Amino acid sequence: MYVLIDISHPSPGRAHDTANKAAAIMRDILAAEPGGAGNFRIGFLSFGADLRQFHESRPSGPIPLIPEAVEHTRLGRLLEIPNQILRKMRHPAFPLHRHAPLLFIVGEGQIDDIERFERALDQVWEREAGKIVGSYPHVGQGDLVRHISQSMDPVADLNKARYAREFPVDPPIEKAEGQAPPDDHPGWPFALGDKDRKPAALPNAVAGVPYQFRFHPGFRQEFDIAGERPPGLEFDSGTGVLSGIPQGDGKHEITFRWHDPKAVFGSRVREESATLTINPDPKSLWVSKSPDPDAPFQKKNAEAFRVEGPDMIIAAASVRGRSHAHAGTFRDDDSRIFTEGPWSVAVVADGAGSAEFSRRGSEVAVNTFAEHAGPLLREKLDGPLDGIEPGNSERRPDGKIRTGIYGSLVMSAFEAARAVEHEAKKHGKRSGEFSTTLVAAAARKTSVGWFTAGFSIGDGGAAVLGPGGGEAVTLTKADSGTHAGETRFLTTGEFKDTNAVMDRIHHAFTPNPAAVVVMTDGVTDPKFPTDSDFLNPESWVKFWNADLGREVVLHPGNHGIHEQLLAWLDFWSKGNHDDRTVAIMLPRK
Amino acid sequence: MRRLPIYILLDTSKSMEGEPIESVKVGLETLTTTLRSDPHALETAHISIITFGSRARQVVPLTDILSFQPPDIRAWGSTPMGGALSLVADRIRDEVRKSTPDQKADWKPLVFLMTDGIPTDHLDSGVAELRKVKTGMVVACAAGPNADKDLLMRITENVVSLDTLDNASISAFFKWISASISATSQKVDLGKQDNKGDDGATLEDLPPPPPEINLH
Repeated sequence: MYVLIDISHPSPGRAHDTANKAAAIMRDILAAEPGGAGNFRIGFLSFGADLRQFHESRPSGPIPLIPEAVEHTRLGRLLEIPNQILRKMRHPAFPLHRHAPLLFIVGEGQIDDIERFERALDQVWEREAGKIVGSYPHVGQGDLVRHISQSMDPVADLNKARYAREFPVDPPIEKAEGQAPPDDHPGWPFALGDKDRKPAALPNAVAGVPYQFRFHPGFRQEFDIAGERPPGLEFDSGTGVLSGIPQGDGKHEITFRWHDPKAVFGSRVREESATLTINPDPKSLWVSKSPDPDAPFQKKNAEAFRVEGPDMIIAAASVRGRSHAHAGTFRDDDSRIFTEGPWSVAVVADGAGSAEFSRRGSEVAVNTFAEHAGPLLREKLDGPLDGIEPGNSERRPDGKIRTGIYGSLVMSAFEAARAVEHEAKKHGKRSGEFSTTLVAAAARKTSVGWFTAGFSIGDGGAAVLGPGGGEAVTLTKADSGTHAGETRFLTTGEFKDTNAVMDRIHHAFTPNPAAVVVMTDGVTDPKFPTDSDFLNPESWVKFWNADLGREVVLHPGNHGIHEQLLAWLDFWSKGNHDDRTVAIMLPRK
Repeated sequence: MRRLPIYILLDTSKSMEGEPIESVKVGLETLTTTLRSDPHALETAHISIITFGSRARQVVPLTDILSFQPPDIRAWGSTPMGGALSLVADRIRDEVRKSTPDQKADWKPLVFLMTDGIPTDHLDSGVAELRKVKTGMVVACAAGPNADKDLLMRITENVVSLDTLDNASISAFFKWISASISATSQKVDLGKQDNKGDDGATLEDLPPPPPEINLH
């Protein structure tokens, strides 16, 4: 903090008086510093013909003596001194770097070295001085000092500085969902009150989320809010804590009033304002609208199914995301679950939100897939799987199995891609308007436990879980790009490169699986935020037991399992409001 | 959580003094108030403000809407537009998350730039820096008669202009930014793009601008 004091003619007496008062106030300010005053420095600099920095000290140092008045007002030259120090202060290693330095200029009359002053002032701005307060009521060069907020009462400004300094440096208590402001929050610390600037803004609140902000009452007596309190908040004048559960939303101006026993001039009752913005609860802003009943390709907002196979039960649920509900658009996801001989199969698809008719694309994709996959699985895979002899895993015909998956799951997906493109052509549209992803998994019993296979294009995913949800083996490849929102879609072009397609085939043998889970990205994004999470068996254990297992009775005998899945899909996850589809297969014990 | 980063670059040179800079301040206030009531933007959009006047500075780092507070800005100094572009490239590199095994990528950042003059520093080096980072869309606005639209075309093909530097034009521009942020927040929430091609977003992907804003 620097105080620049003009001791030139014609203001010798006043400057002398002001400077001495300023020095006393500065000492008070530092005495009230919460973290101890050790890190703070105040420089008192005088400017006149005989330029001197007559005092720079740590707060414990002596009060400066104010010298006699001099002839000229060489403010420009003087301003270069704090400038050099400000440059140092912006260095990250300097302990003051979190504070914008405060700079006060107290004086009156003409400035003699205007050009130099202008240059220096420009540099001060560049160095991000937190506040420059000047007092130049009689200055002729109005143009020159308009960037300094003018004040007739330099001492009042210094009092303001004291107030400003006493905001705590530590951020307010962390709010829910990690919404605490970043360390370098804008407007921190606060410079209050001068009329060219806005009132200080307190860190924002969120309706319904506990809020707490601590002021240091410091020297203030009878420190309280003068007018209305923001709804839901209380102020404890003893501790200086503003806290409570804010309500409503909007911007509130709070007037603080206190008694200042050390006020130098005028009234000892002081007032300052600060603003507090209360954000609405984000959840309260979402609305649900029905889609246009006359639009083509109608689709239900939610659906759930349960299918019983010989060895497994399969359940699926699919629900329109909050984004679509808010906009009154259709669900783009779709799903099919079915059994065929020993096989249980689940396929889910996520129509691209950016594609106008993707709801139809996903529907065509899952239906076409379902049409082909059953017979192909039997034809291509039953042979190799039935031939497996128990005991020696080395002798499993992995090559034949992978070829069989290619001939069944991949070929069905290819047929689905063709059907989507054909559907677009039929309606005279580009196939991009029907874009969809596809995630499929199939399972059956073998002599060495359960066999599961997966194939996908685009994100979402599938996995087979071992007992208790442990030992998860993922059955799909992550298709996310470098930036968010990039994925791949089911097109016939994706099948041209056989090696790339083979990379998308995964299978596993699991002696005693708990389940096979198949999901669109509306579920995988919030539940497995990163590729690492998706591949990490521990995330799956948590998902299975602490999340899904809490709301859904994961037992093949549960006849309401699909309805429970549907209810579970309504979970809240910030920023994740896509359509959600999940299918699970549970072996009968 | 995938964030939608928005960088707003504002010319705060001395020529913006008076009504223009006051209008910019009001524009930022309006933008904040509008986005606070939009559930998509509230959860997705993150805003950073970079000013260039005398020096390019990031006055607000990338901040979510719930915590965002419009900065206090002043008009002062020259127009270091090239420096502002280099700075935003640097900030994008630093602040925008890329996809790694342990983190989901942010959406590609949107960059809005508004200037009332011509750069007083080397623009092309800033343009070169900006090209090195991946952006969803860069929109440059030539505000008032002294801005050079052709020069801005060197930064991006998405150039708009305001005929005058008055409150009506500037507030229209900020309303349009706000509508664009809302629309993009909603769009990214709804869907994805194919990662095979360059999406090449253009002004047609944003809401139609009000009459005060001319397209080029």
